[in-house]
Amino acid sequence: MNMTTTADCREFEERLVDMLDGRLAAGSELRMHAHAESCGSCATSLSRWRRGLPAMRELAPRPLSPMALRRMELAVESGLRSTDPAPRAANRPVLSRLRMRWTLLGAAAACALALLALRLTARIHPSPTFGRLDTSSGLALVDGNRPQPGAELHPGASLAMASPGQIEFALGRDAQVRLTGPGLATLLGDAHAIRVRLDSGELALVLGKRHSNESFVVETRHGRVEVRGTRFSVGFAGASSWVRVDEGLVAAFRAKDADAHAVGAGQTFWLGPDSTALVPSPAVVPSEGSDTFESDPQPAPAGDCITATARARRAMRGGQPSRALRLLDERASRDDVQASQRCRDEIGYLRAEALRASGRPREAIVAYLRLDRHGAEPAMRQNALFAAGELEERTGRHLAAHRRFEAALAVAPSGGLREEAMERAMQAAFAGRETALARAAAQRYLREFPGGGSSPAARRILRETTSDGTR
Amino acid sequence: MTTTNDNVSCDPLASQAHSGDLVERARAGDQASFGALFRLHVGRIHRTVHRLAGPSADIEDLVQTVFVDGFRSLPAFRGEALFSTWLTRIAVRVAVRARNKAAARRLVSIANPADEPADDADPARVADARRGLERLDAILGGLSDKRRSAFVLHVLEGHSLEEVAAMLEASVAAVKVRVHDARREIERQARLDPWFIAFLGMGE
Repeated sequence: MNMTTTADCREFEERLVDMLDGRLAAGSELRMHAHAESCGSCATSLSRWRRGLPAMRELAPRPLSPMALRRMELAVESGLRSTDPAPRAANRPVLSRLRMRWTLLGAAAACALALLALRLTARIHPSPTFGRLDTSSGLALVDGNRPQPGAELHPGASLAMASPGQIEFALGRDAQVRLTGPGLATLLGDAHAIRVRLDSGELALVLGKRHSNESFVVETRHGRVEVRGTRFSVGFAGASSWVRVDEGLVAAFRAKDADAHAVGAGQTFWLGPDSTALVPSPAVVPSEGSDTFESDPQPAPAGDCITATARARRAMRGGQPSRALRLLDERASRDDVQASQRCRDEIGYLRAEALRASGRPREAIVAYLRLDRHGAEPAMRQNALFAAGELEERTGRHLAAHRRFEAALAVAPSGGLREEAMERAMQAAFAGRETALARAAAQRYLREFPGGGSSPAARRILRETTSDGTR
Repeated sequence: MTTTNDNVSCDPLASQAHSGDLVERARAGDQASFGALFRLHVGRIHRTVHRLAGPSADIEDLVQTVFVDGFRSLPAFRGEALFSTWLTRIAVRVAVRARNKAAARRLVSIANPADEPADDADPARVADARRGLERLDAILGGLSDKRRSAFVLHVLEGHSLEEVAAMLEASVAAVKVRVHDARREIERQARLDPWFIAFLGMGE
């Protein structure tokens, strides 16, 4: 591409994207076009980027699924609830940072003295927040002694289960751990950098989101697992050990190599050599929305429901929608009056997703719409109506799709799919040749999201149609 | 040549009122407003973080970090910029930091089936889109942090040069230079791959 260096060419290049995005005033745009007509190099550049820019913008990651959105929203809520220091300096305005600089210098000297005092104190009194024993069953021993509920656990503590049974304990900030025996685990590190060495047995863990200065590692002789906030289990099967993740993400390292392997929800990863032994199904399923284990070893109806949805999700992730459908239908067929509305909606939503993934769009649409009729929570209804709209569109029913997207907007006007629903309603109306609807939707989109990803498309619709309904 | 928004028949101030109202309520401690703000901005932030940090299994974590950092810092938000601009500034910082960290440690990602294309999409189109995205990610990965940020925000995300300058806490002149240099580099790299140039429709 031959770039000229004249001032006009330079300015043309700088404002090219603004022009293609329709951000230039009419006079400026005319001057740009006039320049392009007299400059071959800039005309070529304009032509290339006019074709290439939309294509390049299309190359974006797939939008987050409704489930991922909900999971992330919960994680953000949890992150805000946790006690954390004040806002970081990097986010403060520059002037404010400058004003604070002298204050910080003064404070630094005081902090140094305070830290020195803290270090001395810590040597005398080890941190009391490292760990605390909650409950135990069977023959449990901590450092060779029978433990008492509420007993403190210190770095170096050895937890042993000589027979089948369990020890539950809290570690550091917001980590709940269960050791299922027979098994042996050793606690290492400190409250901010916790390490649990598992020699045998199985550990199930529920962790809140880790702060940047915190780490949590589970080691076996075959490798280690580094954790952010998540729900997962680590255990032995034959001569190998494994990690199974129920929620979130862990980084697993095999002892024999230095690579980190990201293990996500629904996945099992062998730390040692792959084993033909079956990884046991979850022995414990922490209640959803809670960071603790169910206290009742017998699953309650709601817990059973959560187990069913968790299994169905795993089947979906594993590319087995038919299996997921079977699991959900089995669960739904039970006469369970105690199942909560939320649980029934969750099953209904997953069932619709499974039908969709099984290539049964009409049945999926019916299942999505049923959620709307049965009064599921607004966010779920918006997701369901949006998904129904997508399917209507794929089957060429543009006006039905338009109605679904509009309904998705109406049910949760500030919901997570607001921009997408506005955009899709606009596109569906345009594809269905409902010019007046398409124009109204385009004007609404531009009003709400003037810099949104679909603003060029909205402007194109307004350019290509007239208010009297012609195209 | 001057830049204005006056050729757009809409009122940007009115469009931001909803977000501004939510920000005010969130600052007053209204929990529901945090959720509404999250849902309002998460799609754009997710796309921006992916383009800035590159493909990684950690994208969801990074997006969460942007929102947690942003919400915690709300008391410091004085409304001098739009909330979306301010949040994007945090996204740039989080993404660049993650990118530099990732460069120091190789992460082998196990594909997350949830991120795989839908079963009912046209397989050939999906394969092309995936290949195109990988190619673009690779080319962006060869740019410096500053050029990449300016290019992503202006060219791919469609923010004006002035908005990008506010997001990057840089002058408009500096942003212009970074975008210009990034575009030249990207055109150069793209020309090395005839398939990619044809895919983008940027051939002769």
